[in-house]
Formats: sequence, C-alpha cells, structure tokens
Amino acid sequence: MELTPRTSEAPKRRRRRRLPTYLALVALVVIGGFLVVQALGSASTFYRNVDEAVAEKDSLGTKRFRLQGTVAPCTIERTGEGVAFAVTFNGVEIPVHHVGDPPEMFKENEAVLLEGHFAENGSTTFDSNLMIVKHSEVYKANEADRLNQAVEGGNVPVVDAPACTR
Amino acid sequence: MTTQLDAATEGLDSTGSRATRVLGVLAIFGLAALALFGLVLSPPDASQGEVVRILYVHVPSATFAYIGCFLTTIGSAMFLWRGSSWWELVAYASAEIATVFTAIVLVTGMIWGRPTWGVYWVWDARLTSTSMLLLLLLGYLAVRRLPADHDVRTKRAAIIGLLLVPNVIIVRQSVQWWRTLHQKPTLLANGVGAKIEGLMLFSLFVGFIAIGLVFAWLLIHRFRLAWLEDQLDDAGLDAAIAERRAEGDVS
Repeated sequence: MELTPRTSEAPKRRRRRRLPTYLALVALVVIGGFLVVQALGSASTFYRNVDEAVAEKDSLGTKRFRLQGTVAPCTIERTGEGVAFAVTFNGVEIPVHHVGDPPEMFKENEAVLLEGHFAENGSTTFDSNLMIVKHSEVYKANEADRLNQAVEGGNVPVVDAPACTR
Repeated sequence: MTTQLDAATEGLDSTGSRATRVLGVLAIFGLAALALFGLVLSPPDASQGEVVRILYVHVPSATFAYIGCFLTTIGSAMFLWRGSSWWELVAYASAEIATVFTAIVLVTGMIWGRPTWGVYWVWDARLTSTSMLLLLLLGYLAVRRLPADHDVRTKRAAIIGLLLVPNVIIVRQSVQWWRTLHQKPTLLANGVGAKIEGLMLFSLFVGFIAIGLVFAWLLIHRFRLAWLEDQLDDAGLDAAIAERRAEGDVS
C-alpha cells in the first residue's frame, strides 16, 4: 500500500527558473501600475468639447489640451503649413490652425480630436499640431454604391449632395 | 515511468477526436465564408471605405476574448469554491486562448486605427483597459506556471482569474463611462442593426460564427493538452517516488 505523502516534485528543476519568473512578475506589476495611473489620469479629461474649452478659456490660457469637435462644413482651407478650418460642438464654433498633414479621413462633418492650445491668452483660435479623426459607431454602405444601384435599378431615389452654401 | 504515463494516457494518441475534427473542418469553412463576406461581398463603408473590413475580425475576436475571460473566472471560482480540478483546467486553457484573442484585438485595432484615426495608439480608456486585460491574462499564465507546488500555483492563478471579469466589464463599459477616441457600441445600441446595415451586419454575424468555431476548437484542444500535462506530472511524481524507494532498498 502506498502511504508516502505526496509533497512536491523534484526540487532541482524549480530553483533555476525562479529568479527570471519573479523578475517578470515584478515587471508586470510595474507596467500594470503605470497603465492604471495613465488611465485614471487621462480618462476623465481625455478631451474637452469645443463649448467646454471656450467656457474654460481663461483657466486654460495657452496650456496644451485635447479638443473635440466636428469639422464645420465649407470651412476647410489648405495653408502653407497644414490646414485651417472651424470646429463646432454644442453650437460653439472656433477657428483652428493645424500644422501638419491631416489624416486621410479628415473631411467636413467628421469629428476630430486636436492636440494643441489656444493661440494666446483669451483667444479662441486653436493652434493644433496633432489631429486624430474620431469615427462614429455608424456603419453604412458607400454612397457611391447606392448611386450606382439607383442608376442601374432606377428605383432608389437619388438625393443630391447638398452644395456648400455658406 | 513510461508504463505509468502509458497507463495515464491510454487510448489517447492525440488531443483530437472525431468531434474536434468535425469542428475543425467547420471552422475552416467558417473562415472561408468570413473571407468571402468580409473581403468580397460586403460593401465598403461610406466614411471609412475599404478599411472597415477589419471590423469583421476585430469585433468577434474581442467578443471571444471576453468569453474566454468569463470561462476563466467561472473556472477559477469553481476551483476555489468546490476544488474542482476540471474547472481549474478549463480556466487555465481558456485564459491562454483569451490571451491570444486579446492580442489579436489589440493588433487588428492598431492596424485599423492608423488609417481611420491617423494614429496607431492613444491612451484612451478603452485602449488602456484592454492592455490592462492583456497584462492580467499574462499575469495569470505566469503565476499558473510559477515554480511552486501544484496546489499553490493553481490557487494563486485562480485568485487572479477572479479579476478578469471585473476587468472585462471595465473594458466593455469604458466607452460609456469615459470620453474615448474609440467608438461607442454599434451592435447593442438601439437594437441590433440600427447602426450597421444589411450585408455589413450579416458579414459580422459570419465573423462571430467563424471566430467562435476557431475559439471552441482551440479551447478543446488546449484543455485536453492541459489534462495530459497534469497526468504527466502525476506519472513523473510516481516515478520519482518509486526511484527514491528503490534507492532506499539498496542501502
């Protein structure tokens, strides 16, 4: 009858790998802590909407922050160093001077995140040098396809894209 | 040692069985259907264009990463509560698969982010909490393998396993609780199909089935492998005990 208590496996194999594993664990905890701090620090004010930023413009001054708004239609102009346009949110619209190439998906009526600051104290002109396009959660087929369908089938009404009237 | 191992794994010459072979073939067909619908039949998106096609892999991978985490937490709880080693193995196997799927989510998300957002990565709440989930899963796997007594390391890992579902809830709700660059839910907002139309929705559905089959196939094989590893450990222990006894007999 087998009565030997089963305690552990051969201990030789264990000791060798212990240090690297503990180091890996410590590294994981440190990286995890860093991520938590990052998350808590930046999640709540990840960006300010245009109306909020304008309301806070005195306290913001020329401090750097992230601005969120929709690119106002018919305001996009190419400039020598990038692009100028207006962003709007909740009825407040401000001009933006962006330095650098905008992302491919940058176009009017698209929400964007801009990193930068107000041009000067009290000003509502926003100077940005990092633009991120914030796509929506709505997915629909390409409108060009619908136009083709309409041409082919003749039974889907084609609505003309509204012309730029401003 | 060989005899004991043979006894333990009798009748098991691979982790495959008729059921998993059928499942594997179905998964291959599912992936082929996903490629067909995702790359050919579904339309480009009105604002994102062709890039939208990565959606059909990104979203189902995230869903099954969540499901893997749920299984690990349930398994860990059943192990801690009832001492069920079957559930412990389910937890271990599904944590490994969930790790792979979470990594796929992060990689496909970054590939998608560059052309749509213009950047690969931002530290917003969704992306940050997802990387925390990946680290927690890696932590679970590290602790599960940390050299220690089998009972000790399974218990430690199970305690980490309990944290996975709370983290999944944070990931899932992050786009509602905080301002994020990542979009809000498409599928479960205002009823299925309110924010994604026709063939795109169907392609996503094909994605769920295909990725789900792959997940199930991987999970079953990984579970069987984990079970065999346990048997091997036991057999090794038996052999070691027998050897020590033999030494004792000689002297």
